[in-house]
Amino acid sequence: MRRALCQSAAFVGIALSVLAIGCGEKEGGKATSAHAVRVTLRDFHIKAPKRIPAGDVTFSIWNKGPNDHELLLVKEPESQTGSEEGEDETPLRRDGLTVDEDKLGSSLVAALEPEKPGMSTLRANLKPGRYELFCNMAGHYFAGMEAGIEVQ
Amino acid sequence: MKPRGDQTFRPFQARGRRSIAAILLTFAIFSAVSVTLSIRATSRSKHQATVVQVAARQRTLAEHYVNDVLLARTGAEADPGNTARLLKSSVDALLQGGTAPSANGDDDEAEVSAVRDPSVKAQLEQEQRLIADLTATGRAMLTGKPVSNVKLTAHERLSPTDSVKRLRVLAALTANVSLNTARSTAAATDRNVSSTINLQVLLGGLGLLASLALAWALIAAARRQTAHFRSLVTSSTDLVLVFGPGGCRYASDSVATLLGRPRKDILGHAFAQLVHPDDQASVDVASSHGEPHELVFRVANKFDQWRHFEAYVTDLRGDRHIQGVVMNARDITERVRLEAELTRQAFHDGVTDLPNRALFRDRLDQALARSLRTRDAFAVLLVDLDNFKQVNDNLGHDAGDELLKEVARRFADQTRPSDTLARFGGDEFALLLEAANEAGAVNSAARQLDQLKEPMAIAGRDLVVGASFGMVLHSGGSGDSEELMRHADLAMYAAKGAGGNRCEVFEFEMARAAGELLGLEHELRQALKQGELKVHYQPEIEIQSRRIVGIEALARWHSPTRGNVPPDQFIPVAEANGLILPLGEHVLQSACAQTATWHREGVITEPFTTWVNLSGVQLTAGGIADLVQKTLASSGLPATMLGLEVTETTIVAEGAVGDRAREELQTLRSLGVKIAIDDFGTGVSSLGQLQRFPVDMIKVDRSFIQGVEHDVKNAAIASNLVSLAHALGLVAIAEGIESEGQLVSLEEVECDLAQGYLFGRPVSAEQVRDVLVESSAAPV
Repeated sequence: MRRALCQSAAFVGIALSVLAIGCGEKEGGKATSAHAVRVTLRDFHIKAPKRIPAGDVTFSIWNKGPNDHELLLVKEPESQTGSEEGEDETPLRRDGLTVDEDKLGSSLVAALEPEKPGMSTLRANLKPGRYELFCNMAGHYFAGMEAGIEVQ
Repeated sequence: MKPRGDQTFRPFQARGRRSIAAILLTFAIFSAVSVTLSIRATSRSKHQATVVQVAARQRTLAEHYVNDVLLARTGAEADPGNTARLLKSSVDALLQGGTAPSANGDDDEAEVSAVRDPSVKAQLEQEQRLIADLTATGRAMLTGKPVSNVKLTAHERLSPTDSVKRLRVLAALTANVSLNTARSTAAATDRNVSSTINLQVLLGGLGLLASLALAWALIAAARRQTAHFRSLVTSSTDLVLVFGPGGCRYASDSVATLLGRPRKDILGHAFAQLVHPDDQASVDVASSHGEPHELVFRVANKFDQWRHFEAYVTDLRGDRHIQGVVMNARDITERVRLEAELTRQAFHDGVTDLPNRALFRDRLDQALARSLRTRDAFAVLLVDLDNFKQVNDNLGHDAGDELLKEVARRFADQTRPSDTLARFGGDEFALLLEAANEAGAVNSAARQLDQLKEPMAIAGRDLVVGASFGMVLHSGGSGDSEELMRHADLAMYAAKGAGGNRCEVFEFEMARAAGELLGLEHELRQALKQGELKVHYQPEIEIQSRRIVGIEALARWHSPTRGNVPPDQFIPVAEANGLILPLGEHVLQSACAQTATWHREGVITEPFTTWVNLSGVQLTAGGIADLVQKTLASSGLPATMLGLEVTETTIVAEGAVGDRAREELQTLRSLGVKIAIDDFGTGVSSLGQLQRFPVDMIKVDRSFIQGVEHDVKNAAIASNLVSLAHALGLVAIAEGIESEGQLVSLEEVECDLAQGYLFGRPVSAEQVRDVLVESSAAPV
């Protein structure tokens, strides 16, 4: 009887260690040669470099919360050089609080869906020009979550 | 090897019980933990649902607040302050725990506990700040203050300048954060639920594993136990058989060693074919009904030899694992063989291998029992070899045994298988002739006698041995084996008495004679006690002077039932059983006392001799010299007046006993006691002996005296005997003188003394006294 219990205990032990090994596995990261740009999001502010080089860009986005935020990268039209006029032309949805993304068309270069506070990345191939980063959660844009970037 | 304590084999211990209990306990523990977890998870989920509801409600309340402010501004009936309070108290309750208020009767108040998740907590704090900014902006609008002056606390930098849009942006931000809060809470709940499920799955898995391990241990233990039993059964030297409706269903491996047969020879109905026909019925009953519980039977092995088995039968037909009758059979062939050998030894004679007395008696009892039923006659013969002792003495015991074997062989040749030939020991054989009439039995005995006529080559010699057959016939019906044997014995002695080498058939006369002899012994014993034995005296005269010079003391027995019993009947009986010792003593004392009295009275004067007979038994028993001396002393009789008559055989007896007897007689003779040799001439005494052992007188046997008158031969012998006595310087006395003629003849051969009816019969002491008185008075 005693022997039988010892055997069963050993059996359980082996099973547990197998589970532990399974949990311990992790995915290996992949190195890229893209330019890394750090972007910080928080209620209700976007911090990003003013200028970045053109080409493949990897945005390392850190949402510091506490709210969920998204990030849209929109290219401003070439003809426009002034920065203030762009705002007026930004199409809004009916609620008047969010940008109508459907109307952005090809100017929407990249988008990060709403994310909880934490780290995430966004990749984009950027041509030179003026770009705008903003959060399109209801009211966030108007609460100050927008930043312009010059790609050279 | 030292057995380990916990490894001790306990076949009947319920090993499985504890394992099963452990399995059930494991299940119970894991189930209880799992259920508890489920209950807790459910209750937490319920609570979280409330939290989510309250959190989500904030979004609606924020939109309400905007509407309320706008309505209130237009003067419509609205209470933005209340909505603002609801917003604030709800977020406070979510953050710190407490009662979330009901909103406009849409729902009930709800108890919520303080939020713990740090990220949710941060969102709620942000929500608090946004509500403060929203309501501050609302109040500013209602009070008509510029909204741009409202101090914002939630890090927002409102770009619109329009107050309504600002208010709507703030409401959207509040709604947004409320939704985030609700979503985060829901996600946390999901995580919680999924981790609970994971934990339950893990626990279930562990429980299952533990139970499987225990079950595996249980199975292993059961298997070990089964293996133990199997090895017990298979390695046992016993034969284990299981019987069912189709005959033998199982036979253990030992069948190969015990019977040398493969298992298939045993299984099914084949087994019954191997059982001894006499045992088949009992084996059949036992194997089908489980009774009797103990059984002995025989089974043929590979070589068709019968092996004896002793089996214990157990009826396990009711046991669902066996469903048959189990037989544990042990090979007892060697034991049976040994028992048979011991029985044979107990009932057989070692020399001739014939049945011994015990077996013969058993067969005789059986024959009697049969005869009681069938009334068949049978005969019993007892055989005694004549002169076997001489063969033993002269040729040695080995030759004696050889002879016995040869005799046994020859007897056996003439014995039918139905008859029993036995040896009782010594030279005694016995035959039981079944279904025999007298003629047949006598013929059979005659044939057996004929068998012995042919000489036997024993120890380099050709021996012919005779035999005395005593036969008794049992005519059928009831009988007594003891009596039959005794009668056969009497017949055998009769045959021996008739010279041997013959067969005598028992007659009732023999039994009567034997019966009288037995009775005589008993009565003689009584007679001695009761003084029925008297001493009589017969005068002895000097032939020349016709004077009485002596008397012979003789024992006489007058039995109240038998009358006068002659000495030649009772003396041999007395000698045979030792009664002669007290009898002889009695005669000696009486004679001495009587003679001494007469001597004192002057009835007799010296020279006078009273002669007393001494039996050979008295002499060989020893102590006769002491007895005589004591008797002489006590009676006061001079030794010279006493004479002792002894037989020739006593004088010449070989060995230490004879030497001592002679010594004692010499001692007495040196005291003056006279010694006479009785019945001289009939025995085997050598003259040399006679010379070496001087006696005073010889008594010429009456057989010579009876013919002395007319028979020349007898006269010559008598004459020579007397001459011989005189040549040796001895006195000669003739006994049995009945006539004057005999006396004259003896006078002619110068015989000294005479004794006989002519001078007087043996008479009582009183009567002889008269004779003596008369004789002493008579002139010489």
